[in-house]
Amino acid sequence: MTRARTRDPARPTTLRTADAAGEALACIAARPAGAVLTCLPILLAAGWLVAVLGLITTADAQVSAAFAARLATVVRVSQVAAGPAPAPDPYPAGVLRRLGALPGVLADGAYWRVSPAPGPVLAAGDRAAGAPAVLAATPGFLSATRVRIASGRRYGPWAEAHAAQVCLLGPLAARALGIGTVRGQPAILVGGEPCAVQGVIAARPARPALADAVLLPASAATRLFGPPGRSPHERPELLIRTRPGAALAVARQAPYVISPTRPRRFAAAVRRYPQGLRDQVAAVLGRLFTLAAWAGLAAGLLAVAVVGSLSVAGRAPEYALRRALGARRRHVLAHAACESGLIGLIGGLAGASLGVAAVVLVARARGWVPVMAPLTVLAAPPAAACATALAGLIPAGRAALIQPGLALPRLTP
Amino acid sequence: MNEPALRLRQARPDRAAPGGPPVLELRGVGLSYPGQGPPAQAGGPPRRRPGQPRLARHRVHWPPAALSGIDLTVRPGELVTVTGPAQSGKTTLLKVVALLLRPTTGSYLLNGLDTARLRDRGLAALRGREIGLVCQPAHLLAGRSVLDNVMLPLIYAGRPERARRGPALAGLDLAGLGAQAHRLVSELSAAERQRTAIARALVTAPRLLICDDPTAGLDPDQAVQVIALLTSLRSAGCTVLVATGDQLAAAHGSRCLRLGDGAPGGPPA
Repeated sequence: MTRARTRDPARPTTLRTADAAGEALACIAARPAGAVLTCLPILLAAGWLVAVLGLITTADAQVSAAFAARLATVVRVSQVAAGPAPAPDPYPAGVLRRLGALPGVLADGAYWRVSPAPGPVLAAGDRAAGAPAVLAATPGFLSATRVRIASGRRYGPWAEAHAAQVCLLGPLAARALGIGTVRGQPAILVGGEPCAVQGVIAARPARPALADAVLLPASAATRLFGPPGRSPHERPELLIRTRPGAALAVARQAPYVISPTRPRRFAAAVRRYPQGLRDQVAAVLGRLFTLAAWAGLAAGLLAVAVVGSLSVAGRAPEYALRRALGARRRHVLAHAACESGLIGLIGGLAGASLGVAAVVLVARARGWVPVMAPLTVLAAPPAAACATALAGLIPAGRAALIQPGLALPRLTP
Repeated sequence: MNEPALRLRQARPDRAAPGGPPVLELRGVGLSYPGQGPPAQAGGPPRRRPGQPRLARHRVHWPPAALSGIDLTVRPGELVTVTGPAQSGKTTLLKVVALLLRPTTGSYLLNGLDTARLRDRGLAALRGREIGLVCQPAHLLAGRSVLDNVMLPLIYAGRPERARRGPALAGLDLAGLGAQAHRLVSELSAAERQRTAIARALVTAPRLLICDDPTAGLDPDQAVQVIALLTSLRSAGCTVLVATGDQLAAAHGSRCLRLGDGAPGGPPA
């Protein structure tokens, strides 16, 4: 209580920022129930915003993964007709090994249709298939096309290396030949050459052409029916399966790997990645959900303004008391705005946590990988604090305009 | 005089000079709320508009003004009481003196400063530095400690945090609440709440202490404690203006202003 009176008594009073924040915090702590009530709308709004933005990101990544997994992992390499006459065997074994060493390549193999047709395909009892395609395919081709076997097993590198006379039957060809299982070690005649049936391909194969086909190891087909490429329309092709996203790079490199000196003799085609379609789908979904997110935030801020106004009406006597004790209008405004901002910060923190939890739970329930931009989570609390402080300016302005002489009688003990 | 009162006197040597320039001067102060008193326009009552019914045979009775014709001069070290029956304008007069309401007529000088010329920030400064207000009821901030409540005016007086605790504890000592500093206000008795409000009013060492019915709701013993506190403050040189309906409290004043219907000279309370 030691103060010298040397300065103008009417000089304006001051309120430090730290004091305004401290008073706001003390008021929140003194009325936890009221603070929770005010906090609830911004908590829900921030939680809604974070959750929706997180779900948009997660769904977007999911769409990308789905498109990439299904459509952009297959490269088909063929020998173009233009240029010098093709060599009898354009894909020697070394080519397949070098292609397999490219980054991103999962499997690769060669295949061709044996032409001209070697003759009728007969099973035991001279049961004949209609006219199945006889395909020569390396074991890598079976991996690249993800052939699923209903009965038996695929032929492997050993059969390829030893030109073993084994075969796989497509489901339609197997049904025509009356072979449903390989348990009895059946054999068929292909153009008069005996082949042991090693497996039956499952129904609805990834490549429809395999449904009514007989597949022989490439080496065996070459030994039995001659090298490929004798007919210009039945040239051998390569099929390469890559990791998602690697298809374009592999397609660019493959011709150089096959023939470093004459890469133009070969054309690599990728099933076009429908980026435009994916982007369109993502953009439509993104716009829709972003709109919903911001609408939720706006509703939350409106609720904050309404609850804040009601709170000011109930606390008019307190603000009047502060004015009676020397607070200026701007001090009351700062105090109320600080209180709103702190409530917004608390609500934003809780809401962001709630939103992240919602994203994780939804993603886990759907079997997705939750993907969120860190900025969304980190920026939510300060953004909620700023937005709430702005929304709180309306009730704060009302608080600042309270006439202390009129509001003071309404004080209750 | 007890030790805290001595410290108070040392803090404000200027107020321990009875007979000096008046602390407050009210000259013909009146106050009308909207709808009270006759319309302040020249040329008599408003003209009748065409088609408006004639009211020539009826006299309009305006509600009386809340305050009218108040003249009061209070000098340093005085304890002036304002008495009167309920609704006589005691609290309204105190609000005018506390700069919570602006008078609609007359002039009000506080320490020689014409308050009519001050804007909101000047009035707030005077409220914070020159005036200590004890309301009825005590109007303490709920959920806060006694010390927090007493330190509240120092925040708006611009005191740094480290310079608030000392004056607040001294004010509490003066009010006899030094041991209650850290209790919540909800745990206090009515008299303790009232004394806390007095400590809060004194913490900025104001020139003028205004008390609105400080003994209301207190039992006789508690009322005597509060009156003794006010008397000791006066002895310490503090200028005190008390509105009260309590004859015992009014008897301790050096002068008494009696109000009736917002004007001086009302009947005894």
